[in-house]
Amino acid sequence: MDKDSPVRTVLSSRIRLARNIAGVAFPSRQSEQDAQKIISMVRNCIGELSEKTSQHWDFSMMEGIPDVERHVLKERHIISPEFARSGNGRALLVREDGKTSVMINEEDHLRIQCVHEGLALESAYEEASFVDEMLEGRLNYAFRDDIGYLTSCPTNVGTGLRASVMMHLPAIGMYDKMPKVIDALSMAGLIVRGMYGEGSNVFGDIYQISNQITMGIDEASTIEKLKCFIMQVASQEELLRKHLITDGLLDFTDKAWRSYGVLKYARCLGLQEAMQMISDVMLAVDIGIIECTNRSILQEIVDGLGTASIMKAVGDEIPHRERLIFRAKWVRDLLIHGEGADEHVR
Amino acid sequence: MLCSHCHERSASVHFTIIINGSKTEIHLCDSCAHESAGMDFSQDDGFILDSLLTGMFSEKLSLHELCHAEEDAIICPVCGSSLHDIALSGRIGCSECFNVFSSSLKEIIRNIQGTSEFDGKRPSVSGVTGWCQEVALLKKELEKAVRVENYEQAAVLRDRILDIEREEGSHKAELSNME
Repeated sequence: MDKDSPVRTVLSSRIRLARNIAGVAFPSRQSEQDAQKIISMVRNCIGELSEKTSQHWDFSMMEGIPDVERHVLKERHIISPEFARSGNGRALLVREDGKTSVMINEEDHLRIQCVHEGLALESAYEEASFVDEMLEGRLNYAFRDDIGYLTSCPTNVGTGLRASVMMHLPAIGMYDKMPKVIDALSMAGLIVRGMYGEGSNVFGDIYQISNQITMGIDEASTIEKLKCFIMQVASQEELLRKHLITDGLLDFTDKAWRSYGVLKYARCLGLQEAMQMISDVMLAVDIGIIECTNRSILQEIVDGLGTASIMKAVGDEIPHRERLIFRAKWVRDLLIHGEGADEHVR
Repeated sequence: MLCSHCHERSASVHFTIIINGSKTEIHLCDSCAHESAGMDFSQDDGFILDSLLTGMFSEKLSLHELCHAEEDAIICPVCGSSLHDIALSGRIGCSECFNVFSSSLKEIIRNIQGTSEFDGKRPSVSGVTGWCQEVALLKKELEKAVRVENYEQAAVLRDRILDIEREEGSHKAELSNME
């Protein structure tokens, strides 16, 4: 991602569509037969889906996916924590590039999801919508023209759309403006969540912002509105980054370089401290303190820091201490060599 | 920012709900969200709104209160849910529930979403679901006709809508409200 791009503060965009099939109980009330029925109905669509998207789709029954693998999927935001824990009667379809997926029998029969890097809500929506329309042509969707798409939870009824972004907002955090930003966004009907940690203990300065309402507003307007607020928050972040530069950079420069030093040379790394340090380095790179030719490496580190990802890379469940050591080595390798991390972590 | 529920821990989730026309900001910490929703954070943030549905803010909103008495005794023929089941779990059982509990569910949706009017894309495939779009358009025309007091035209449109819906054998006509 271009470090001068105006929305570099948006790390990723996600579109999720909730859909159900008419006449079959929703997952909260479904029998095992119902669950299998839904799964086979969707499986029958895979051929056409692959053909129309010109990509291979991987199908797996959740019960066949080992624990570590499930948690990796969860850490990579491909499935929800609830889905990661689930037992029988659930399945997952993932497109070969890993960007688009369909959870089968999570809270609804179908949860179509697409994740793109950076601010890319419209293109993520287009891809999710394409899959949606293809499936709708083969399946009898539960829909009423007065209420819209019928979902298990009334909070999703209507468009069934949850649009969200992950934003990196370290300067807003540093100038203690986060409460104000949160106020403004929640009053506008958006949900704001610190991704790591709680309240003032949020570390990594990464927040998820999403729409709340799915009735009375159409998809394009939902995305437009979210985007509008995101741009305002992004501008605020960029403005405060400029202040950071003019306000005397030494404290932060020192902090960032120390973080970089630790990431590059430490022998043990905890998740929380690593997240915070990566956040410092990302900001430092963005404002030109630290030079980095390949910014995507930082994103790769963010994505692979999690416990499950580490264990998967090792190929085994390892105790806490071992994970600290492995995480440190993995980050070192990425930073020093600029590439070549264990491909299992991807 | 402290959690609106326990007032002890720092909040990490923030949103606003509108109950009876007034806006309330809600801030939740991880534990309260987990406790009220009975599940971890879902990427979809569905849990947040779960807490509304399971009566966490019961002094403000109770699903039971929103249910229409005449639908109390009904059991959904497809999934076996009753209104009580739905109000308790905050989960609707199947597509048919939306027909048999239409009034109560619309009321619930209106309270949570601020409206029970749908505005969004419709299944565009003709055949099984394409008729929805036609009905939606006809209904808009019907509203217009009633507004300008062209009752003859309104009657024609109403009959056409009834025909389509009867053909498709699906949900109840809301048209009685229009007359």
